Amino acid sequence: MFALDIILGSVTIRISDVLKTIFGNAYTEYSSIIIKFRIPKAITALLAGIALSVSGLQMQTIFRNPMAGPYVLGISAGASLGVAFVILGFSEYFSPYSIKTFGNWALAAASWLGAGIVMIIMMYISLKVKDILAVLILGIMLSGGISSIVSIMQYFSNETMLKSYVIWTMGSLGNLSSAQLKVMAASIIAGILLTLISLKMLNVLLLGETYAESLGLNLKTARILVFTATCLLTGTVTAFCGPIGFIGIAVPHIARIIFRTSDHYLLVPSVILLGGIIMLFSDIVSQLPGTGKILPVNAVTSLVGIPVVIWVVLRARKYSSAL
Amino acid sequence: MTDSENKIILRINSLLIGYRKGKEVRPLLHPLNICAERGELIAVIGANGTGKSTLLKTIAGLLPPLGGEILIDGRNLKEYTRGEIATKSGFVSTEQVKVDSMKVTDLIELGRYPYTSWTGRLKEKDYEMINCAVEKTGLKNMAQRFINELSDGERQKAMIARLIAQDTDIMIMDEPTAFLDIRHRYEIIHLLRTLSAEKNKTILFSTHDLPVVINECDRVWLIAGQNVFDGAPEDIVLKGLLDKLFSDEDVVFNPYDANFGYKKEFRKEINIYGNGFEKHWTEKAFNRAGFRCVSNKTDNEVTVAQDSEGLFWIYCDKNTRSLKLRSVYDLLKWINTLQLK
Repeated sequence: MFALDIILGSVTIRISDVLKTIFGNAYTEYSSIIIKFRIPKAITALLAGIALSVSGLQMQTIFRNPMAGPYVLGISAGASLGVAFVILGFSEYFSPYSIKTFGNWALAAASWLGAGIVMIIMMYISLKVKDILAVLILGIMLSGGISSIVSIMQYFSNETMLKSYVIWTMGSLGNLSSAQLKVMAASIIAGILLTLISLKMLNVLLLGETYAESLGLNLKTARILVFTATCLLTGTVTAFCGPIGFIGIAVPHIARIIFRTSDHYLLVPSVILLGGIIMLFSDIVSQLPGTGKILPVNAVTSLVGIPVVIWVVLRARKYSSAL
Repeated sequence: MTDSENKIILRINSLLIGYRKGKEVRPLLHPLNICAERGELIAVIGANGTGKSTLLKTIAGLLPPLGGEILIDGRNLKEYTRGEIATKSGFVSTEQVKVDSMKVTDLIELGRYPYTSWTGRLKEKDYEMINCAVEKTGLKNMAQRFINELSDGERQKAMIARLIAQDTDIMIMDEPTAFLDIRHRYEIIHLLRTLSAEKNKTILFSTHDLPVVINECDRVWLIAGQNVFDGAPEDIVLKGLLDKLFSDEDVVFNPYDANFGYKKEFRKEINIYGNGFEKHWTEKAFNRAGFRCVSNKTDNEVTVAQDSEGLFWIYCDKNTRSLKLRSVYDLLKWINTLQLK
């Protein structure tokens, strides 16, 4: 899939040319497209897919809610509010040059912060409201509220800033500089490592917090670990690729359907695998290979994810409070 | 002699349970002093809202006590880490656990959580405990099924199996027999009985199921008002404590059939002639209809007897005498037509 993503794109490149560029030193007219554009984009897609899916899985476990995911619970929206603050609010204090060096981390950090705040709000809500669908609706409301704050901010900002923000919201995998890609890769790897440390905790959290505690889980540690991991993962992807919907909620369910397990030692690797594959696939489709046109990747991921979400809602009705 | 040397596994000293709301402390019960020995099956009974769940959760270390101390094996619960508590006492709550794609074995394996390293890998001893739990609960041919597909009773057994796998000295369960049909209820009680007898577990469970308590438990902690009464079930019955279970005076305990009933006012008297079983059930019917059953001579009499066609009942008083009636239902109907005062 990774290879396919490099090969297929809006500009048709012959496979032989791709291979020549990668394995030979021969310079063809397509080399710069491949090296500067396609490979970074494929890596971005892979990282974004993995990060969103893993954070979605963790949210579903810790909220004990099959409808949880970075996008539907408004975590992505929170992250984008953080980004909006940086791009729309403060960019006038930075020269274009300083944004490039220092700005990437600022962007990421603002995004983590935004994601974290919404995550805390949603955790509080889910403690009070036990109904799965009610939590979902509140998440969407929160998303909507945050979006309107962002649009008010847009209204008061100048044209260049607005333009860069609007482009960002389209959700793009292809606009990352290599410096940005490094920041993204580092943060996501950190997030994944935190997840791997907390696998055992995630398993026992499936039973709910009371049982987890009675089995000896230190709830505070577990919450902090999972919380940090999800904010890192969701925040980073949102910071650099814009809000990408429905991957985080759908991929864990696809993994459960295929592997029929609730064990995180199996689920996390399979979600990493599937998340990467599905995101690369969405990216390929969004390039509309051979046509020279590009769709926003968000549209494709929604089309992939929404049927899964609908299926889960219908099934959750059957099990009343099933996860 | 300290607690760790003798049979006492759990000792509670002037414990205050309840909730804190801001700075305000709301204890549910008077300071509690009580203890439990190894291998005892103890039922906690009390009306809804008296603090059964709170007491159990506090002992399980899931709620902080408002005061006093809980000693497990002679050591204060506060000095244990979470992980250490999990090897001493385990808990099954009333919450229905429904996890997508989780198999019965996955659930039971989670019981080994306190014993595995962070990689969660199971060792031989862990598998031994898991198999033992599966066997004890009779879940062998359900081990590979998903817990969402189980009936309430089967899922409850799986939850208990998880607790068995946790292998703790004290097992605490909040209404393990609620929502279950009679068969599963007895299976689970029998299971608890076996565990306490064979594996020397101390089992502390709350229930509303009085006949079970009286027939099976070693000990009862009865919560009434803000006090906890402790004793063998028979002690509780003989001291008349069960009448205190509900503050409502209209619901009273009937010590003969070990159950509760709504207090009745008897306005009429009747004398029933007959033998054992048939007499007992006929009396029951007349109690329901508002008659006090007496054995001295009164105006109204019923005789229950048997002929070649089966049981029959005959009613007579000063003026009337019924035919042979063939069922209690017909008898009561016939008496209703007399409009007795």
